[in-house]
Amino acid sequence: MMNPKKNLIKAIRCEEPEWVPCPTVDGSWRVVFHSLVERTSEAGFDDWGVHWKLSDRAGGTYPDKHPIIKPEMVKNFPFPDVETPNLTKPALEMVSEIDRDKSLLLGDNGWGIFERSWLLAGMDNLLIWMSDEPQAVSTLMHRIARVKLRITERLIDEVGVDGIRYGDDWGGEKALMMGPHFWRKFIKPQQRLLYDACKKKGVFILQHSDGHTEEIIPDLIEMGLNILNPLQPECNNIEKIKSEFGKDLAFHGAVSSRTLDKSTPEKITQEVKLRISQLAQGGGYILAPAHSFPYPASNLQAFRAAAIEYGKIPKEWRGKFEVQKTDVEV
Amino acid sequence: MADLKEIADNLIKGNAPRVKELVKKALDERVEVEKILNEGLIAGMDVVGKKFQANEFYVPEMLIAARAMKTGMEIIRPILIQEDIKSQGIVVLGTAKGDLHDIGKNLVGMMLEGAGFEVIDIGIDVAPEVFVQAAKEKKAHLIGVSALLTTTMVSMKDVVKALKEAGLDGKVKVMIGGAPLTQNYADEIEADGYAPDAASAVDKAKELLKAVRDEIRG
Ligand code: B1M
Repeated sequence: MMNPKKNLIKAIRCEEPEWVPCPTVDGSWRVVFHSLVERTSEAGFDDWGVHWKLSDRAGGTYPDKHPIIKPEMVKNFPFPDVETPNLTKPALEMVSEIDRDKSLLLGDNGWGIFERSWLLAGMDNLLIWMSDEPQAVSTLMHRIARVKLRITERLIDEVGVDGIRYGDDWGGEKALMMGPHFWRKFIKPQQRLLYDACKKKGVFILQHSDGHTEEIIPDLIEMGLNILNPLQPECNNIEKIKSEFGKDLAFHGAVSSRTLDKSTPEKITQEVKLRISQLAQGGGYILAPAHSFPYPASNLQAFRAAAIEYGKIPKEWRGKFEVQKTDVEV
Repeated sequence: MADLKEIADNLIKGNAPRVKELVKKALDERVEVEKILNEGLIAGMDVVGKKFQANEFYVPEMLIAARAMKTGMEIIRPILIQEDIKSQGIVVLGTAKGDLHDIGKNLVGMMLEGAGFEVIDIGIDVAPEVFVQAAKEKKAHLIGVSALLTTTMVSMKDVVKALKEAGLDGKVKVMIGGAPLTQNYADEIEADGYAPDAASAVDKAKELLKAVRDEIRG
């Protein structure tokens, strides 16, 4: 009998599923987290030594002190202890409440290599060092990747996750922030280490990056990526991407968060319908908003109703799963 | 002979030490400072903006070019002041209330400075009344507001309103920008202008301030 997990796996493999999987409705995947503090909820330091400030007006904390102020600090700056026995504890606790026959289990890896680099060094420094101090940038990213690699290995070995979720915002509205040249030079080699660990253990790989990511999709496929999120529709040519890469890569997201926040239930219904028609044919589409955000309740209701109707989600699998904190920056 | 194109070329490449050297050399050779500014530094930044617009340059290239511009400006600024050469106009720039995204805003600031404007960056998460207060204090000609969130762009309307209440509408222009914004939205909230990217922001600021600038420059 088909169930949400089996149906989702079909979609991830770019085979035709019975319905369009939508994790917040059919519970086809659940995400679990590791124990490192990647962002504080109050003012204070995260586990990497980055200071976060609380701003009620901005709706949460934001990084305001970046500890690596000189390239010379990169080599010996102390990193969090990734061998702590507690690392997988939160994930293990969550797993006990998840029906693994029906839900795929994704382990969230935390802030990505680029993000953690700019959190540590500051955005301007990091981007300037890409030209001035390339060795320091490579060293920094490699050191971060080693921590991330252990998180991946331990989530797989100790929790038995079916996939790893890597988040890293590389894209701005119209282009990769650092450009494809610097992405390939600095980020790709480290990201590859993280993907290789997943492939070796046979688990799925999900990559999140906001914004425009079009031109590196061939690289990501070559590295073995399975699912790309969120394919922000304002920033990417969805039809072109589906026709060029739809056989090799599944997509998760694509429902405009701007429409969800600022539009009417009718427009949201149209938006969901449009994305399903562009992306779901032949499998390879997992329906979701392009960002989790405190949307108006009536709009979320419209999203859910449209997901059920146009995604053809069977009655018995129409559950209600809370929107999970799947974007660390969310 | 000082080669102003060489200044521009090195600025485009982000070679700050070379720009510094060449600007000094040009000054030593008694090239007019306004010419160094316009045909060397500003001409270089103009190309940088166009390359960014065309996705040939990305944020890292913009940052090192802006750094080279700054290095050149540091040398000529005292002379510009001495010779009473006015900027293109004064711009107060910040991100909308509640918004922390500042990468785009910073690029807009760099490009405006690179085009000869005086930019007063008042940072992130700026309340409407603070924009207006700063514009008053600094005698600004333009307020620039950047927003990346659908939830914060709405406060731009309050900047326009606060400016009206202060009796400054028409005197101080408002330009808006950031990923979710559009010309339509600018029209709706009666902002004077919208720009989709940092290079266009320069063109828009020039357009908006044309009348004012003619006045400043006499
Ligand atoms: C005055 O005149 C002008 C004229 C032109 C102007 C202008 C002003 N301002 C900009 N321009 C224009 O010129 C610039 C250069 O050409 C351009 O500027 P841009 O800023 O567009 O371009 C920059 C050069 C590069 N682009 C960027 O810097 C933005 C990239 C993305 C990935 C992004 C980033 C990096 C961040 N984020 Co944010 N973030 C996203 C972005 C995705 C996207 N599609 O853009 C976006 C904007 N984020 C979003 C969200 C939701 C959030 N973020 C948040 C936080 C962050 C970080 C702190 C992690 C980081 C910002 C770091 C920093 N120092 O700025 C949170 C909000 C914090 C807050 N209150 O502001 C948070 C709410 C997440 C959370 N829950 O914490 C989304 C907004 C969705 C919506 N409905 O509005 C988002 C579109 C991503 C998505 N997947 O949907 C033009 O727009």
